[in-house]
Amino acid sequence: MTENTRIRMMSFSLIFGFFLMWEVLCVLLNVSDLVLPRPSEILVTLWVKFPILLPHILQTLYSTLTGFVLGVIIGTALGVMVGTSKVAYAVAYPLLVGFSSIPKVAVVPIFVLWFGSGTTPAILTAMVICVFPIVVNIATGLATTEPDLEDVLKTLGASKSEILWNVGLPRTMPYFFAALKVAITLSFVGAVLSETVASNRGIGNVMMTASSNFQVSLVFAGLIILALLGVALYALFSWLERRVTGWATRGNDITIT
Amino acid sequence: MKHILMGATFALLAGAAPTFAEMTDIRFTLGWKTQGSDAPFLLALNKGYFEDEGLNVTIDQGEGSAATVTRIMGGAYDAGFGDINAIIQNAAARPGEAPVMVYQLWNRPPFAIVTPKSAGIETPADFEGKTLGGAQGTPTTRLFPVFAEINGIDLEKVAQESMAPNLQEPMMIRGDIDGAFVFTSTSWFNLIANRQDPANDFNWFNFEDYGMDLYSNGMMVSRELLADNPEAVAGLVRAVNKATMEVSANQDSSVEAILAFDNLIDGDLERARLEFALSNLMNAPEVATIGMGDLDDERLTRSIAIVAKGYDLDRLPEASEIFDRSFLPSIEERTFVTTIN
Amino acid sequence: MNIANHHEQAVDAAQKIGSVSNRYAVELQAASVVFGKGAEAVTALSPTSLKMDAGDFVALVGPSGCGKSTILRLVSNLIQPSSGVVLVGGREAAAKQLRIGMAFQNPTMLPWLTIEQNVMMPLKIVPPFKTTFYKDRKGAFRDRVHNLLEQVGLKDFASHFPWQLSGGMLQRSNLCRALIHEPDLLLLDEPFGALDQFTREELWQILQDLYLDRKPTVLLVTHDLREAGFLAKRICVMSARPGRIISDETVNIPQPRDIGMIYSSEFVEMTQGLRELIAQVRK
Repeated sequence: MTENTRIRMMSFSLIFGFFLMWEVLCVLLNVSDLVLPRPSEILVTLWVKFPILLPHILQTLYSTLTGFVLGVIIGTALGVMVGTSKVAYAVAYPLLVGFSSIPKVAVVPIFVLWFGSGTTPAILTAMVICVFPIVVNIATGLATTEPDLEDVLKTLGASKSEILWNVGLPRTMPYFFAALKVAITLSFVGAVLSETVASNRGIGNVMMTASSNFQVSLVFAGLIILALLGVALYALFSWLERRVTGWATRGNDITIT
Repeated sequence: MKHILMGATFALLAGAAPTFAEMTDIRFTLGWKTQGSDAPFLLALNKGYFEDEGLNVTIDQGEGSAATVTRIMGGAYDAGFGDINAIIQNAAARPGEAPVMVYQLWNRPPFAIVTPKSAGIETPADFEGKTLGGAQGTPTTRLFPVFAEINGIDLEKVAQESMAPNLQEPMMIRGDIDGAFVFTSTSWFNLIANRQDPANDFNWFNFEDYGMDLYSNGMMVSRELLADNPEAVAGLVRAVNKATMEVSANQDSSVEAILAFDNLIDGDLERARLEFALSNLMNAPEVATIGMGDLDDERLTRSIAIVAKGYDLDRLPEASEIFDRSFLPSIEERTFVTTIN
Repeated sequence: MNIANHHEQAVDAAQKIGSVSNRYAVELQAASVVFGKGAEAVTALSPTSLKMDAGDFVALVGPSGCGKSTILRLVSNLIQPSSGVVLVGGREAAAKQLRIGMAFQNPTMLPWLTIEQNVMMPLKIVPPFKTTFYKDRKGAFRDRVHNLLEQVGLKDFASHFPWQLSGGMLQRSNLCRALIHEPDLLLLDEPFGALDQFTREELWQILQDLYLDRKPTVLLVTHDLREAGFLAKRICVMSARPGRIISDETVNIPQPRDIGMIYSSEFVEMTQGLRELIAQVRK
């Protein structure tokens, strides 16, 4: 079998082993299901409650993706502005760092106060939390574009925007896609965070409701769903990154001399 | 083609206009996560009673019965289900800004201290030397000093710990705390969920039995809504009253309505909770005379005094600042008879 | 002296003196370049003059740091002269009057594009090709690129990426990119400096063929005297930093030149002469 397949199989074995150990320990130590439910129980809960959970999963995904798209648009625009102007870079940076340092946990109740509970604060939190990495990555990518690359177009008489479009932005794509991977994960966290504070729908809400009613198995089912969704989103954007910016990572292909 | 599209759009809008012109948007907040006791509102929503009154009501889950007041004052919500004592507290500090209660539902207080029998607390005096746990800001926790004073407990001798609301029961069961400041309608069922027997293994010190016959949750509206759209307030009250009467007579439709709002709830659990509320929180003796939704001004004035003491308020608000009965339907329409089915 | 005024005066004078027929493809009039100010000022180029007719092939040789590359940067408008005038096609502000193609020592292909897309890039930027780029890029322009690549022996590598090609192949692509938009003026800054002898000789021949085919005006900066002798019509020698042109010799060997002739005694004599001249100025 190929190396890749072998690694995949080892990965699965590790995950399976983890759950198996969890199950066995719970049984052996007679752990109450109010404290730590067994994986088998969680699986049953997931299976039985899935139709009920589906609308909540879709809600979380919706908030995450909407906030993410908005964050990408704003982040890209800001990143381009900051990355193409040395003055803007110096002026805007402290403010950006300041904003990003604020723990979003503190920001969510403010959003809820302004906009009420539900989807709006979730989208806003998702958006706000993922803007900064995108701005930084794009600005850095643009600011560090090799002058040689730019000269190629400058000698042809290209305008600044032509240089930005043909050299700056493509050159920044690896940075951009790396940032996307991070941003989607953060958006997801932001949306769920907001849902745990105030919402009627979403996996965050499921976990809080389940928690208040002491349906611990459902809480863990929610956790597992969150983990799976997080992995899926990250994997999706990793794949996208490889497709679009393969040129930057140069495989082990032959080189002609 | 462009003309046809424009014409169609206008026709559509014109047709829809009367509906839009009539419907008022109301943002409504509950007092906590969805509970069976929220049935009146969810039933009114589900059965279209709000729509019949020309109201487009959106209901959101809440963060606490006191938080309802803050949410309304913050402007994000127009109305909600929340604690009258929080209104009193805010009315003292900000006269004219706090929301106004327009339909009182819980006329008996849910505030209680619950202790496991194993902790050996049989009378209030036994609290001394023990550790009690409460969530910060909740009415029960904040009013404990008043409870202590009325019942001759030396506060210094009672240790208090802060924790999140849903940790109280587990900690009590584990023995980390000797008792907790709770809402009966919530805690009773939390104990059951934790496989405990609330009736036989726990002692309940209900505040109403110990000299604090406070009112509790009801429907309140913002000052803005009262001033700008009193017809909407009247409509809200009518719809909720109609639903409340229905809920008290028959609980089947309630569970359906609650599930339609929040598909995560446990139908049986919330039905039991609704029955609990009907039988323990909404059936004060005075309801027989004044009907559901109304309250006794003298008793309210007494409550205001208790709250002022407990929260250390600067002034005593008038009962009229807190409650407005002018929107209540006739007493015949508010005759409250509970049938548990 | 107020440099701005001086500039305007010089341009006015040049425009009054020069008529269309007298216009040089490239002209430097006592152009100098000074970096920095005051005590930290570094003169990269002393006031230098140079005239080139259309279709001329001039090689600039000289010791390291003499300002050869600076002259190229002046002509391509990447930097401005601190004093004096630089005229390209009779006007200042190059690239608007004459079409310029430039190739540096480092081929600098854009790594995210294929060789074909790289070579096509100038057609996206330079008018008049720019206006029909999106229409023609899959047809006429593509054929043009492939023909050029074939001329340099890279026909089969059009869809490859830069990292898949060797240095010599990239430099050939670089030449194509510098020529695809039919420039009137070709500026070459030590384009073959990083390559081995065999590859260099191969590329000299390719460049000669391309030059004779299209007859652009070429300004070649090189440190290789044989390269200069093989390719150029005129060889200008520069003094050490801060440099200026001290010798301007015509190469009287007829074109096209055979690569074997670089070992002939006539050729060797010429390059030795150049070598001695440069050795002197380096002291």
